[in-house]
Amino acid sequence: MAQAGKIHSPPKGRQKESADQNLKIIGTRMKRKEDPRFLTGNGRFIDDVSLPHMAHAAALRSPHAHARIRSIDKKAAEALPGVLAVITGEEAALETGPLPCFANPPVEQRCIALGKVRHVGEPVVLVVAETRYIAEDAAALVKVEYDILPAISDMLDALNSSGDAVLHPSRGPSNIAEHRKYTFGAVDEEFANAAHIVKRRLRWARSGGQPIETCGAVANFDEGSGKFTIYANTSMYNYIGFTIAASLNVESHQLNIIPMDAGGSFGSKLFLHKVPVLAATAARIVGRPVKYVEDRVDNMMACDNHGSDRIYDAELAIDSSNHMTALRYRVIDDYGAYLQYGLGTHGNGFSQTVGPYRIRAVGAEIIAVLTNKCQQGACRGFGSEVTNFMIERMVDAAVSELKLDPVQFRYDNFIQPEEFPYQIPTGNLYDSGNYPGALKMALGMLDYQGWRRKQQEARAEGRYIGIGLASCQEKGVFSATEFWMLNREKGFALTSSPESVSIKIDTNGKAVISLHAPHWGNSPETVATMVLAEQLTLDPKDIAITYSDTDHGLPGTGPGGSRYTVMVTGAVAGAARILKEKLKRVAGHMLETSPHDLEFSNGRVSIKGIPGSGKTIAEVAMQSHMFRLSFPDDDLTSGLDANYTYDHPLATLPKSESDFGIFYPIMGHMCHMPVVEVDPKTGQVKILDYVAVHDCGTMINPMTVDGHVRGGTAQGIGTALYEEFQYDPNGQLRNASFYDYLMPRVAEMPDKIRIGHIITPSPYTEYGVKGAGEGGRMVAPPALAAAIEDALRPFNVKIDTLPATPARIRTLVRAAENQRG
Amino acid sequence: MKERDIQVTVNGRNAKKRIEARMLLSDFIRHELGLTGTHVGCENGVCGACTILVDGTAVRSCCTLAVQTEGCHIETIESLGRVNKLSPLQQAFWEKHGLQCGFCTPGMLMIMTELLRQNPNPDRAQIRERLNDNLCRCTGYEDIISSVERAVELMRAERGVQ
Amino acid sequence: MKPPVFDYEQPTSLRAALESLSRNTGTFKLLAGGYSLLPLLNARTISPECIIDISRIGELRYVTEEAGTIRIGALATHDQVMNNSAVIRECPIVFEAYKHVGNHTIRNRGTLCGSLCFNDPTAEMPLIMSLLGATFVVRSSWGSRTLSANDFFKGPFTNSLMPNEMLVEVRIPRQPAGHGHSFIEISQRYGDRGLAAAGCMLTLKYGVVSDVRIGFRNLGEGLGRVRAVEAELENKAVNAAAIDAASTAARQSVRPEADMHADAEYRRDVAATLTKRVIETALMRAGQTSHVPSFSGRLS
Repeated sequence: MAQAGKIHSPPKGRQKESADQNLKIIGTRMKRKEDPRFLTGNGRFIDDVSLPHMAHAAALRSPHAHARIRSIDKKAAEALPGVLAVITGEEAALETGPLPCFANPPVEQRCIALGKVRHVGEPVVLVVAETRYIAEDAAALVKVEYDILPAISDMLDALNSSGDAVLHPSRGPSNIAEHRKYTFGAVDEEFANAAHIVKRRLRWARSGGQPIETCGAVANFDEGSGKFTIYANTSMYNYIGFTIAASLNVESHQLNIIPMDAGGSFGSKLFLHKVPVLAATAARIVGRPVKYVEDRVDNMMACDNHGSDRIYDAELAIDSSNHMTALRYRVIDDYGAYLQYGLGTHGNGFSQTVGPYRIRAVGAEIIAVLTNKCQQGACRGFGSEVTNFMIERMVDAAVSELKLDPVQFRYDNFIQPEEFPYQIPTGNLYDSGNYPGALKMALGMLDYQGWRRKQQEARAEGRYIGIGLASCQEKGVFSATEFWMLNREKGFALTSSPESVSIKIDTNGKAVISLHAPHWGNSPETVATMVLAEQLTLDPKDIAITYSDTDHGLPGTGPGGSRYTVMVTGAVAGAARILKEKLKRVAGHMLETSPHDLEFSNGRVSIKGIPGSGKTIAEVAMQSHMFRLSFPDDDLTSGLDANYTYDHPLATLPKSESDFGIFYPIMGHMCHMPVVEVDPKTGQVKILDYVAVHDCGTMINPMTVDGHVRGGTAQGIGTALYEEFQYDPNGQLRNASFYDYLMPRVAEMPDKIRIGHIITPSPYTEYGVKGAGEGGRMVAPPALAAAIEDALRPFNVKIDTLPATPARIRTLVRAAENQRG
Repeated sequence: MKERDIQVTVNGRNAKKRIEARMLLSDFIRHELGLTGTHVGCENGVCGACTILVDGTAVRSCCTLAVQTEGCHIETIESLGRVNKLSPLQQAFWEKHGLQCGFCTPGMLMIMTELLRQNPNPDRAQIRERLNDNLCRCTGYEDIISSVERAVELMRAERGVQ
Repeated sequence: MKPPVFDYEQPTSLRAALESLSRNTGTFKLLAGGYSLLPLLNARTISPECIIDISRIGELRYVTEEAGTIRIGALATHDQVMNNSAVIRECPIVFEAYKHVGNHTIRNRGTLCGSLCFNDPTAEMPLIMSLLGATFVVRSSWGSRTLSANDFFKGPFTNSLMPNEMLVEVRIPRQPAGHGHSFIEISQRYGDRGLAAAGCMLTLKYGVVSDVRIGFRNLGEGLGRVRAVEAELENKAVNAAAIDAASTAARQSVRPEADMHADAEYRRDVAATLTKRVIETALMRAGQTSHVPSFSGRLS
């Protein structure tokens, strides 16, 4: 059992570059390396790939949520000129196996439905043709007969379903995929001793990343070598890409995945498997390269990456001095038709399940149900954003029931700056932080007292203004070790989540950095360039970036879990150390001096303390590449290159189901304070002001951090107010288009999101960098819920369900009005 | 007729093709002419990623048939500045971090090109009004607004110099 | 999402277009701006055998004012209509409602007449034309007829055009001098298809209202102007009780349906609120000499 509190003999880290050094490039708002190509239409996205003799695939989507496939008549489709193949699930299964799944026991998923469809939009047939137009023409000619099975659309129905309503009978006679209980600390004791217990039922609706670019792949199969080449906008190909080879029934070295620029992901392209496997399966069958790019309907119905969909029954124990002591919850999570990441989205939440507070014990009962919907995957926050919502709603519930001040209550319960590193009851560690500092900054930036006055004045005019506050954690740098404790039967146990770079300094002193993960809409090129330029005092213009495929890939986990900037920084710093050593050694020979007397300044290897002395890196590089015989005949080799694999900066083995060890310790923090005006008669919400204070440790590039804060907050506004995949009782997805799935446009955004930064560097990462990728979406929803609730205080309504749509808000207010009479 | 000859001017060059009447303008631009800078997001006319200019007017190319543009002047992202000589609008997006993944960016640049031609000095409200045409999922829009404001400055300076 | 195969014709005169309509015996669709039609084609919700592209008929692209009547040709774009000086002067409610019509890129190319023919139940312009008492000039190779809004619009997504007919012009008659107007739409996002909308025009003389026109969108099939609501105000002295009565009448008259965005009860409830608000705003504006429209109000 993990004891919550300050750790007095903290684990020793491997940090080599401290945060408190004079930095020239890190910390500047350097313009992004990535941008010029995107600004001129030269990005390379998946649909831009065109191979000779390439064919095009389109999927026939299941119109039913749950049905047995009785027969498929594809004669008319096959007869259409230009059609190359009409592939059924049975035909695909001749050579292609199940898709990767990290739950154990697994839930079998096929790239084309085999025997049964389990959600609307699931591919039933894949048509390959000369053009996408013809492929869609042919798909419309395929006749499929179905035996309709009962569809499970409501997660509560899934708790009791049986017989034909069970999605995966081979896995047991129920739609409850997992039912796990975890106890961290003395939960029952804390509740028995509590002075107050606050209870709430909370509902978080299913939304999704919905990047503007869908998922896609172009695959080719070379029969001679038995090798697949797949272009795709996926990530994690250098981590678990071999599982795609397993699906395709080839050896891992018979698969090369070539990454493309991803037109946004937000988790949804974390590890694409169905799309590349579909393209590859088709390519092997037709013997030509095949492109399969989801259209928007495919993506919304079947992208395998819908977000969390939960009902919480939560209880919070508070002692007589108004300190929170324990949190206990039962959560039902509607995972959809499959379970690719198991309970990963709940394990993720365990990394920060007490938020920024000194809560000593946590009890969690997790019920994962299967329903006839698109399966869950990753969505910015990976489940922790829901944990944050739950914690902050419970905090606000306590404040409201005990008639306390929301600011003071937080101050009184925060883990204090001197208590780090701090261990939380699940065993995870928080490395550093200053939560009161962030709240204080937010209050000041917002002019909290000023808005409280305006709120009073407005109320006198019959207008309803509300101020929201949420203080949330942003866990960074996952190490998938928590998965050890999530599966019922142990599986997917690993302890590595590394990131690598390869750096070459060429003959002319120009550097090329190879990344082993894709461009995902983040700024990997900018970050890697800035760190290398800092290390070697190179001009950033003299650094180029490439992305390696799996053939050339070193261990790379890729962007996800707010890890990439931390990890690639560590990898570049590590590779730079190797390069610097060699540059000094070569320069030492050239200058007839000891390498120890050399340093790097302004692109030179110079004598310590004498800027402008020594040789330029280009001069040293030329010697190193071309003039071996100028140097002693020792173990020196020609060239200047380095591979470096940076491992997780601080993770420990999981100990037990009540102590997960350290698995997500690089802890960012955020305090958001929105001000909203609510029209109680129509339920419409307008954001009047918005302050966002973030702590992501040392910032490599504050400009791109701010971009993430704003973009993440926009998505959080979407989650809070607009976005919800809506399935009807028959399992039909009612809003599978951008007309009806409502993502914020600029009119929904406040004029400005005013950003503040608190910087508490991590003692464990290079330069003290923390993650910042998921940010805003992990805090805006509870902040906005609080603001709406505050605005409607005279009606005493509770915003416990998101999204808070006009209809939902008005319904709450009307009920209050009616009660009042 | 299910097929038609089409002749258009794309970024100042003539293009002549025989195509199916049903071919979307976005597919014509991207796959027939190889100008892949224009992106397709929803094929529903909602997201605006595919926006190009037809006779100077912003058009959703995913909801336009190529044959509708017979004889028209088409401008795409490829008609703006190049990597070594960005246009003021592109330069401003670079300086102000007006893009992250870059997928919606071509559409954003084209609607803003149209706006700035119609009104070289738009205020913030006018920029927001026009920006509401298109979806961006990365930036939260604020840095795009700042980018367009910066472009107005850059273009004003450029005019002053001339 | 690619359109199915179809024949394509591109007449360049109205006469040729009407001939084409008479000649085509199969299923066909007229294409003007295309922003309503193409999404349906891309999704293959419809598969017409022929598309008749009327966008090249230059003679139909006009907005003119003659003897107090504003005439809007079949190919006049939303942009052309909303920025026409006569429209802004004579019927400011058009401009106000246009704030909610799609966005600039849609208004660039989309046509008023196309939108009226499509008759999406959430679209604003069918209601606005009803309030304005607009008439619809419909032609075929055989002749022409002129319909009232009531006769032109049928249920959702339908109109009373015969297959060989085409809406060639909409006529807006002279509006009462000094009338007050208001249009309010509730949508989740700005510019979205509305959850509910209400419009009101009225004339105020010596504290008595007359020529009251009130109607709704997306609050029940075929609901244009609602006489039961108008009757609560017509020829009555303005007071809070009358407005409340109209509001109550609205609650009773609308027949909203639930959809994914809002339930019926919500819509019924906001119908009452919207009614009150549009009447109050219209009253405030009535008699004012000019109401200068500001287009960026909502977004600034």
